[in-house]
Amino acid sequence: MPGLIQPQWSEKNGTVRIANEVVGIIAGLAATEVRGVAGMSGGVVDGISELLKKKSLSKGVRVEVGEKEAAVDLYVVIEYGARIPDVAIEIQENVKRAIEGMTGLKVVEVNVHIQGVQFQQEEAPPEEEESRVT
Amino acid sequence: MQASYRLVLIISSLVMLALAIFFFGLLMGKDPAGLTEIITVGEEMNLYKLVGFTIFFILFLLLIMTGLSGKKSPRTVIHETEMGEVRIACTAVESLALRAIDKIRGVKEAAVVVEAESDGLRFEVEIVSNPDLNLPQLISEIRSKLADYIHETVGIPVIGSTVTVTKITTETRARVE
Repeated sequence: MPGLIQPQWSEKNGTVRIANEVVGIIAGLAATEVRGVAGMSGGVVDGISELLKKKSLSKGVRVEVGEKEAAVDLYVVIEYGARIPDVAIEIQENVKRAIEGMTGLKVVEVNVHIQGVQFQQEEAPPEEEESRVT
Repeated sequence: MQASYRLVLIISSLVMLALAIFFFGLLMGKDPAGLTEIITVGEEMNLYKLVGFTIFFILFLLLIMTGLSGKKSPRTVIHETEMGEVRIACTAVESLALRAIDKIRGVKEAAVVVEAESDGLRFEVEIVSNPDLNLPQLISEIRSKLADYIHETVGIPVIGSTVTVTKITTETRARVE
């Protein structure tokens, strides 16, 4: 649940805690970095919260954070033309690397939910004037 | 389904069975419990009638709620990977398929429905085709291009596709702009 704060690790000077929201933002940014990802797909709640405040960086991300491990669900929209299995695997690897590198948590699961495909406006190729005679 | 709803359904079905047996008994001219008297006469039995009404009304409400609260699970295609699952919404696959089919020469309009099965995807395609075309050839082209494109893009084999030509457009293309 975003917003909840879980204990992460203990230092000799105190305890370091990382909010779920932070893990969500790391995951969201890592996912959108991947080539072929058009964006994150938030639900109704994310849409309403985006209307009320500025753009949410953890949109379309659900995280479960324990003391040492994390599991992530990502809801993404893919660009037209991208090969879905390749993009999904790259998302999983990138998100896992980012979370593990930045927080020290072990990512046990990254589930990717492809919610849609974004078709960009195809630009019409410039019409070349054909010569009427050879 | 929640255990409480299962219990309600079991109780309801038992009540229905009891009522069925009761009415069958009435048909046979037997009413060992004297229930018809309670229902028809005897104002002193109003308490029983009230209890009966309340039970049946609650059962009715619970059954209605059970019927209306059924959530439809979203249609998805599931890929298992080492790091978790990749779930692709069927609507996304349908839009990709539609795009592939729309590009085929001779297809005027198309509609696609996909069903995910354990060993692959099955498509149902409906098209409106342009006139003066060899339809078996067009259908064969749609099936092969769709299978190749989906396998390449989604990474899941197409195990079958049904193509139905619903209409042949009669619009004639203008020869000049």
